[in-house]
Amino acid sequence: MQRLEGSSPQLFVFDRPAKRPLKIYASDPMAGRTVGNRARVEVDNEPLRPGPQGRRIEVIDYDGAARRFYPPVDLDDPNVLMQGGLDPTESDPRFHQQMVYAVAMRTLENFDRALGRTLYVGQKDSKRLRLFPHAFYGANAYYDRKLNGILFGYFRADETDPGPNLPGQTVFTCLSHDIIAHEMTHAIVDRLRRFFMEPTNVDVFAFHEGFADIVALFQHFSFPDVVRDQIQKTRTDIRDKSALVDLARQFGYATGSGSALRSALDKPERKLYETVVEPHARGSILVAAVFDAFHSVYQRRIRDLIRIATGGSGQLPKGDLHPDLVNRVATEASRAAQGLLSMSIRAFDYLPPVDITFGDFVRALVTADLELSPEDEYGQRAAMIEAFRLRNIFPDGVGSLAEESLVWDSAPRGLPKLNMETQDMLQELFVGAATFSFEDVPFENAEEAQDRFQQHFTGRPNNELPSDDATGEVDAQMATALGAWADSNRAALRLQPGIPIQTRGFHTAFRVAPNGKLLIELVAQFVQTDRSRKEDLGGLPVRGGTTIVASADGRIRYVIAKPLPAPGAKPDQEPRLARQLAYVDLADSLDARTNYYGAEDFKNRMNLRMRFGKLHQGAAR
Amino acid sequence: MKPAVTVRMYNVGFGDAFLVTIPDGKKEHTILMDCGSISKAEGGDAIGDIAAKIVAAVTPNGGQPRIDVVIASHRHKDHVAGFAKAEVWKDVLVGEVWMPWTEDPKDPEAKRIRDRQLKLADVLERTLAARPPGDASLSAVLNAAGNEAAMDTLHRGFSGSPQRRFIPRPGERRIDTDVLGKKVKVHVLGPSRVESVIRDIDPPRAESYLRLAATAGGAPTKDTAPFGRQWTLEPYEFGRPEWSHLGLDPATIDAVDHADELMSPELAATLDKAINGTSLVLALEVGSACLLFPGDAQWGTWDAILNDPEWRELLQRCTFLKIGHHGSHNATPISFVEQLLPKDLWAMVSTRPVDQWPNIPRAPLLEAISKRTAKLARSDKDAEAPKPAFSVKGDTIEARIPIG
Repeated sequence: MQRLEGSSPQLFVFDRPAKRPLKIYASDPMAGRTVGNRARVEVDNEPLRPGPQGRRIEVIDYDGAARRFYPPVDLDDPNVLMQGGLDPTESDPRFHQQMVYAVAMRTLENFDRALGRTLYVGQKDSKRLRLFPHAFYGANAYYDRKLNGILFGYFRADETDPGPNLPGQTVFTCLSHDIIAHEMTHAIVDRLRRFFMEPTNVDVFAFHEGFADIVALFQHFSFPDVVRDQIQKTRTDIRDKSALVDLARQFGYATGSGSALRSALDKPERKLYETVVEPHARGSILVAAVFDAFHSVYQRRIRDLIRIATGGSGQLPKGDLHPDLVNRVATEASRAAQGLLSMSIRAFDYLPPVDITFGDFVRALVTADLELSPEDEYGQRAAMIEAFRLRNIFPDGVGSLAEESLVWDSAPRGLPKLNMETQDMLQELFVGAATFSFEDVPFENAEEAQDRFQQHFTGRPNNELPSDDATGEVDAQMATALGAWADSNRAALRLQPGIPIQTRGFHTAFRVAPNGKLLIELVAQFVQTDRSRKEDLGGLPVRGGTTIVASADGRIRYVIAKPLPAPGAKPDQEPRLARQLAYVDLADSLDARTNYYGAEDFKNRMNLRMRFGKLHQGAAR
Repeated sequence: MKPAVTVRMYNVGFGDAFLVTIPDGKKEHTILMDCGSISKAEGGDAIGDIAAKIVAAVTPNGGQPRIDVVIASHRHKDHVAGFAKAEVWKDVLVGEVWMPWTEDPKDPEAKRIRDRQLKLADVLERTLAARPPGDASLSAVLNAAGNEAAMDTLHRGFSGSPQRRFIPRPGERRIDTDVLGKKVKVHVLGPSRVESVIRDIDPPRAESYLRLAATAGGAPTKDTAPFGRQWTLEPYEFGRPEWSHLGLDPATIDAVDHADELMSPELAATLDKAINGTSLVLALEVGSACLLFPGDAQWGTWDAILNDPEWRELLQRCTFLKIGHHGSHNATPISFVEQLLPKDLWAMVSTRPVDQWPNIPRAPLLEAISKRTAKLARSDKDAEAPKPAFSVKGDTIEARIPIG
């Protein structure tokens, strides 16, 4: 409580609580109507306008099928606050708006925390990411980069063959936690790595899908009360992996290839990674590998609990488990999930800027985990490596799957620190990022605050226009300084000579080191593009690039490079180029539309193919 | 003349109609592999007339027309339209009729898949009806719709009460039949019953995607409204001052209005792929002749075939290939052409360029095939068919594949 300076002594204000509780459906209401299907999500407490509209995202309930709006909810209304958010209901659109906001913000905040910075998800023309809970009629939901929005569909279950739904019932994709989190992840990943929407190899699209599934799934597991409720019901041994897989199913885990995910989760198969190419199914392999690690960690975490509960015998009693045990197990499961989720997100800073493969992600995960928890208390890192090994996912150019080989190469010796120009600005950048807060900015000045935030702390806007007229001082100068440094160190950074270097995004990251010290780091990406190739790449250019991770004193810690294939080199001399060409062929074979593209579309077909959509599980099949 | 199988390709335009004749001592067995078209050849006959010509061709002097096996590789207009007029076929004595297992009226899974495909075709036809006639997606859908009369002939028509076979039955790799004599082996390589391929064949539910499907008989979309009237705001009602911070520019509104239409071309292509995926893939072996007819089978089916060692070996013995799906990219995997396709075999493709689908036939594919064999003939370019490998008679191109 504070006393306002210079005002009447009667005016006392309360401190804003840090968190705002909001209710959501715990599992997809269409995947099983369970009594008490609700969970409480806590998001950061930001001032909200009706919509809800916050600083970074806004919900606009426009229905393109009915060509109508639905009234926006005011989550700051005292009646709503008093209940901790509206109660879950399918018939009131305002609850839908609340749920979409809650899950989207929860997802965004998970990224904020794991990455140690506040992410910006607006674009030049639309300062906030828009969410349309009832945008169109269809069993689908998708992120659209051009609209800077996520569109959720709704549809009627079939009268005669409704699947798990009631006949004729309206099914809302916006009421599925997993769909919201999945699509939100696509939007966020698109901000962090814009070029991951160029399908240059068979893993790119699959990575986007798999990673979005990982975030959705583990975020879902991170709600202890949800997990607790489900563990109560489970009849299998809670130590079995099938119990966790069952939980995933109970959550109504919706995926484009539901059965593919389930079989991927159930047992690892060496051949899947070589043979499965459809993006959702291939992405499931990634999810399954991370899920394996989750199970490993979870087992270790509950080992002592089981020992205590069974007096050392390891025999759990038949029938219902003791509620205290269930509580503790649920807490451990949610902690394990949150830990894996954070590590998976954190790995993003250690990814190259282009042409992602599953192998890159393995290396990034191992590096991120090593930085965050070198002792590997629950064997998470080891479990992860083993899970990928079981599925034959091996990074390029790595000799073995030993941890030391998997960690990204440190910066080469002799790579100088960042130049002085950069370093001077770094201090300002770090201080600014640490102290900037949306909270102190009244809503009326929100637009200005957005601009300031975007310019200072997120580097160039990711939708930069060709004639980019930098509007922020730190932004333009920092980009120039970094670019100059990269230019004079091309060889060490594995950037091609003679081709312009684009500095794409630089971020500060705040982390706590294992020894408790605060680590401040700068992550920057450099990209080079070659549009001169004559081969048919379906509208995509060839790109290369390097991500660097530098500490506050300008010393480079990691150089993560995907060198641009030398222009003019033949595919058989450049494996990445050969792979990109081979993928065009494969994509042509898989895409039903290949035969029917018009001439113009055909030239641009690889760009047209990368489209996100989340099919609702119950309806499509 | 040494004994040989003759394959006669009729110039139906964009479609398939192949008459295969197999000598057996003093007798001859005839197989009609498809009879359909969606666009007749330039200056050529309509499919109805070609059907009549085929019937004439299988009529011995003053006798009854006879075909031992009529095969419909899959239910697309460009493969079955010729059967639409029952009277043309009612006197043709047919031994057996072969269709993919998805046509079996008694198989519940087949029925489910068929119903889905038909429903989706129907709804897409109405949804896309507003599009111009040359639209690629609409054309694909029209290929799938309106084939009832033709299918009726195939299921119930012809003379002689021919046995209908829906192939393959589970686990069946060869067809055990005497209707072609004892010397002919028929291998069935598709359609697969493997789960992943069935997923390709089984399209999404129409109801889940298309408003028209959800409202019975195409009634206005009011019935799909997700919330009661009390929740719905007209655009002007939304413009209240307390909500003015939530603005949508007209371009965004327009984009959202049309969001569901993005799915229609996708769904049309998925439906097309689904029906093509039901294509029979047959290999007829007679002596040293091995004729491969893959219908319009696409990547999923091919992938299953190429992963089967016995079939890989069979493919390497082919002496004739009917190039799938009128020369489209997906219907003949390039890996098959470059690694397995035997050199110097006879290859025929029944096709013609159509405006709405500029990529069929696919030139690089035909080039790759012509690098493996000089004996390549296109129905729309009969003058270029190399001789003496092929002989051109009227609007047909014929190949003789030696048996000995």
